[in-house]
Amino acid sequence: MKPEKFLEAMNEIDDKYIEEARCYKMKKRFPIKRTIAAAACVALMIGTIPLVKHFNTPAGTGTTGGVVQGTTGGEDALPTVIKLGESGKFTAYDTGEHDAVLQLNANRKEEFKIEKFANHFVDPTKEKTRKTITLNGKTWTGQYSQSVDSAFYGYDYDIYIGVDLLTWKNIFSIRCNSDTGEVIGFYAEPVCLSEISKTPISRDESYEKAVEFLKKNVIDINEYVLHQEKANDIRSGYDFSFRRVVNGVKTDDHIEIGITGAGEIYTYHLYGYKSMGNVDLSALNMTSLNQTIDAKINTIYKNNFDITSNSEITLRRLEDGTYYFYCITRVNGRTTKDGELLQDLSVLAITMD
Amino acid sequence: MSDQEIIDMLFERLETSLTAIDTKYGKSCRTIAYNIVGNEQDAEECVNDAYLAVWNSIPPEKPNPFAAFLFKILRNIAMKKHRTSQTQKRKCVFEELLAEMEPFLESEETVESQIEKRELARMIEEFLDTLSPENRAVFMRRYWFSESYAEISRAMGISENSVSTRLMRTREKMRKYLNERGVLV
Repeated sequence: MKPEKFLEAMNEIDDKYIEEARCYKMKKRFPIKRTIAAAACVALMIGTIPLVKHFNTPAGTGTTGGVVQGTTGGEDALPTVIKLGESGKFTAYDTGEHDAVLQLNANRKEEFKIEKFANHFVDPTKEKTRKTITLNGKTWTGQYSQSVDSAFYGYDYDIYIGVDLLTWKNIFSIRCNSDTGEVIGFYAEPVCLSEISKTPISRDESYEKAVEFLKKNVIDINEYVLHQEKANDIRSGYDFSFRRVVNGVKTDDHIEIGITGAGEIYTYHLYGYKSMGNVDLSALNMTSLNQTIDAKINTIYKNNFDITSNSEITLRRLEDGTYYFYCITRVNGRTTKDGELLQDLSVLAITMD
Repeated sequence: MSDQEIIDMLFERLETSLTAIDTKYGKSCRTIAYNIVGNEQDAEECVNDAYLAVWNSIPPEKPNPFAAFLFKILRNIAMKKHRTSQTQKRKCVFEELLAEMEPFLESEETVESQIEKRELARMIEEFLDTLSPENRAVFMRRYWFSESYAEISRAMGISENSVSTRLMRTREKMRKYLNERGVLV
């Protein structure tokens, strides 16, 4: 048999072998001293002293606080929902301290100061580093990932909680602003969520819950409009997408929020919160802009493709401060973004900032 | 970003889904491709082709796990590129793998011993099930991910000598296993 044939056949094997190898970590014996020290840290965490103090204090020095309640007993509850803004406000722009409450179940709550939350898990000088801590018998793994399109997504941290390292299914993840440590997103897998006891809540009820959450947690929520919605298969719920509108123009700043059939928020993400800055579009002539774009699209695509649809014009800001408009043109079922339009329009319509 | 969110973005035909895939898996993809084709330019091409293939497959596919789906597509593309490359074969890990496997798989190719790829894959799976998790992971990293001894050593926290020994023993075990089942004569 030729080795090539064998190696090609390897590509047909079940995915589970690939995932196992990808995620496999050799079991290591934990140094006894470190394990005792870590256990001592957890045992000393009582009261409400901010997490930042706990992790900056060497183990065994008698510091109290941090925040862990009802942690003994070996119960292995999973996060079910995270409530942001215990103090009443959570905002992407405010760099003050915020509280987050991780609701594990009806009887257990974990409170954390959000400020610089991410920095407790990762070394921000190294991309893609990973740090693991044990808290309440639960393994928290923090991994820093920097978005390629940083002007749009911003730099953020992904924190994975209770990760199954064999299958790498993150049970609960939090996204944090790398500058302020604020939580700007989270995602909970179905295993963390409540089952639907009777029938799923309706679309309107889901929407109300989404709006209620956003009003509490996004300071400029009034600038956002509903952009898209769809039913999801997470306990028969609904997902909503909102976009920020500036002077009547939809921007790339958007919020994704998902509600389960039981009425829980299973995912929330704030995107592009840094991207827009202060842009004055009061002098913008939308009619003229639309005509220019239509003309460009016809010129570029008319002879070669059937244009099936154009999306709404959307505004984006690049890292260098350039603003541009773009739309997505669907051509014969394919989607293409027209880069040439953008440069012209950014020069025509917007003053560089 | 979770794999499910990436898949959702693909279903919504958001091009930012490809950026998300690249952010999460780009480094691994480039490593896998480079280890097979042996140069960065070809590797980059393979990775881009894989992303396009994922874009065209999802929807309707809803792969789970997503990483294995992506890596399989990429590996197929890279192996095809390796096969069809007209230039002199560059020194790459994949060439080492072929040389490594050859003595253990050597047999007379007869009509009776020809075996479909899928059937062979099933036998490989059964063989993998006989291995310990550690040895299975080492074997997969070498012959599926095409990782070097040094990469496996670093990833798994064992010495290169240990990697070498484990692989040698596993290859010998595999040769016997396939021999007993009439795949090799």
